[in-house]
Amino acid sequence: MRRTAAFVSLALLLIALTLPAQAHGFLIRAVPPDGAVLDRSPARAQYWFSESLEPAFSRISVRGPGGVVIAEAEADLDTPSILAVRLPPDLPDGTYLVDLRLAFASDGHVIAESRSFSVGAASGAGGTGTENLTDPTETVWRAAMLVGLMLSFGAAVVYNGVLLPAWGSASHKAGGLPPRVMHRLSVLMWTGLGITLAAQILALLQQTSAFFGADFGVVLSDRLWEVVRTSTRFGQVWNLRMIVLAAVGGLFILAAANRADQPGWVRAAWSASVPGLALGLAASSMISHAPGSRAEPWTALFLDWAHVTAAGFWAGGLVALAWVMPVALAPLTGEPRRMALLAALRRYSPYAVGALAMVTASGVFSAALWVRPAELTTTPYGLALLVKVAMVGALLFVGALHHAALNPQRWARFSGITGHLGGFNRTLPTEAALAVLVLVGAGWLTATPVPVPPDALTTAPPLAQLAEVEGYTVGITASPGGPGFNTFDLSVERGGESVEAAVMMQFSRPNLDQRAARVALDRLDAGAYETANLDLSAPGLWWLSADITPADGAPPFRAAFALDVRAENAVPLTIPLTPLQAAALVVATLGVGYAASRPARAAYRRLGLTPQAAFVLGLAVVAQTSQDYSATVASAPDVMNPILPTQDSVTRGAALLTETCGWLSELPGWSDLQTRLPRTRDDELYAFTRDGFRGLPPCEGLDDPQRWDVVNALRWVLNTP
Amino acid sequence: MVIFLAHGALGVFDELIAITVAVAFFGMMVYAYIRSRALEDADLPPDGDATPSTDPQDPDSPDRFKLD
Repeated sequence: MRRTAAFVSLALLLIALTLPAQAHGFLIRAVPPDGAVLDRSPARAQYWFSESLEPAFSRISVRGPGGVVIAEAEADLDTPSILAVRLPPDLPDGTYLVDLRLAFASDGHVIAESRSFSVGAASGAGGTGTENLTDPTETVWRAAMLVGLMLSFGAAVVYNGVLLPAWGSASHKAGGLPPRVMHRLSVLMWTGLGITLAAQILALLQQTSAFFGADFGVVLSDRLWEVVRTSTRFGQVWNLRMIVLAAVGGLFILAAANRADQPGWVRAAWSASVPGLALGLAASSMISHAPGSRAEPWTALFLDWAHVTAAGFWAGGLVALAWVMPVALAPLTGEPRRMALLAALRRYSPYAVGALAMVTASGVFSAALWVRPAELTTTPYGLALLVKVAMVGALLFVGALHHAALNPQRWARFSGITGHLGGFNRTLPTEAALAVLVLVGAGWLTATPVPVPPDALTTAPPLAQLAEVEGYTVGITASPGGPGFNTFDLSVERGGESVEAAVMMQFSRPNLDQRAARVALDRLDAGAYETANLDLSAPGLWWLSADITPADGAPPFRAAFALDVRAENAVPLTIPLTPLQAAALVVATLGVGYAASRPARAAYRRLGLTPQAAFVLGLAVVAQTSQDYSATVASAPDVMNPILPTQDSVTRGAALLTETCGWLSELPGWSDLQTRLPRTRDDELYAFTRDGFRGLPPCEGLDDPQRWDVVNALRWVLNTP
Repeated sequence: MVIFLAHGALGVFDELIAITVAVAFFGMMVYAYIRSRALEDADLPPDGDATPSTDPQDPDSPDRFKLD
């Protein structure tokens, strides 16, 4: 009994140490920059994060110099990786503290951060800090969850892939193996399911407690857990895992209840549990850090699942074998005992080598998400990773040696080495010892902080321009001024005085003839207007047309800006794969391809395709998809508008429109053109001026610049009431 | 885009992909169950077929070993 308890404890510890490294999302851009001293009051405070946030549980609040909260907001569903809040106008000089409460959607981790900025001059206590709101209970349930799933999964795959093929006999109707073996496997399966269920309950309580900042008593009495279960990504994944547990557990209960009448149900339950438990492990990956990866999140998620699944087979399978072997082999002695052991190990060994290779490749990929090559030797995380990789290499070598030695034809070649080392009785414990070292290394890695990426919190000056139009001075500032989410501040002055006005704004991309929707800017104060959106979707040249209607009855006018949107100003929400990750991805893909090769070959044979036909078909699908994508996303115009739609261009074009073209609002095509204007590109308008449009005559005698002036004027006139 | 789950962290289609994967795995469970039931014990040797080999170096030695 004591030995059993010690074995189970050691097994749980070992599997727990295979937990993948966890890390939080992090702040990658702040506007205003942290600790900045600003000349004038900012319109907004906005913060970009490396991962999506749970909108309902993520908040930003800004406290003024007196400590009073002056503004607060939650995350927006449309931009879930950004927390932004509009600030009151004309903030008095002083230092402002920004409190950020962040609940990351990928792994449910909750963090509190403080940032600061000052207006006028720095005064009072600023400060930056991060408080990790996750509690040790989370570590407990995450460890228990993986331990439980890996135990059950290991037992199921070892039963189906190792023990049944090696020892199965039709004389054992219920499961194909002797009752003493089936009993041991069942104990392991139910232990795993029980641990997983307990971890599930603890997970929901802890996560609800973290989201609401409430203790377990309040979580239960107010049924707050029900809110998290139904309204968060964590809750939905939790539901999925409960369905999996219910399905797998239900199958085993049914099989046990009908064991006498329907002994075949036992084997069927064990078969069906493999994909079910694999899905349960996938659900764990869905709330790990992998979906929050800035590089290829779907690939990261898939490889994280491959990692835990392969580790489940390897570690869970080892536990299952070690748990079953003593009882299974107890009646045997001498040569029969050795043969029975070999029959099982011959089945397990190739799978274990494959699983280890997959664990290694996917582990390298995942680790490379959080550590850069230069940091391998300069950070504690990198050093821990190197040590772990070295141990895995040694483990792979010994495992491969055993795998090769199990083949009788190669026995002679390797028996010299194993004999020199003392035979399998010595080298097998060596492999086990190396496995323990690897798992300890994994635990060390888990506990080591992940280095902050070098691109985090880099700052670049925002895009800013001024335009003089009809005696007005119009200024535009785009922060941060790169592709993605930006805040746009527009100022209007005349003779040094702020001008009250209504402002409409529209972005267009001349080289692709694409334009965003016209939006009305919010008034912050007299002469200060602002909006924030995702209109700047790519680097390159963008035109901004601001149509300004002064409130004093003065004629409306147009200010136009040509903005060079630079990639370096972007907040890097996504990053490309590194060569190391790419190499690891190739190895992992080959592994998955090998594992899937048998069913793939069967499907291929069933389709009856020749290799040439399959190649041509694949090529055609790729080419067509690529072509469709390019045509949909970035089709170039037939002719490109080279004239920035300034007030001068619009004025010239408006004169030509009536005097030369004779296009009047009374003509029949005018209202049609007005209706379809939002979905009409500049090159189409150009063609209309050349060829005419539904009763609007062609504009004769215009040169190209004049025709483009007319196009610019059309957009202005048709958009101006 | 209809949001099936709470919200996505991976892109516009992540909800759909997640549900598709889950359905596929449940389908695999059903398939594995039915296939296993259909096989019954046909793929397992009857009593006496799996006997211990006398020569472990024999490349043709059986991979199976009947425990009892």
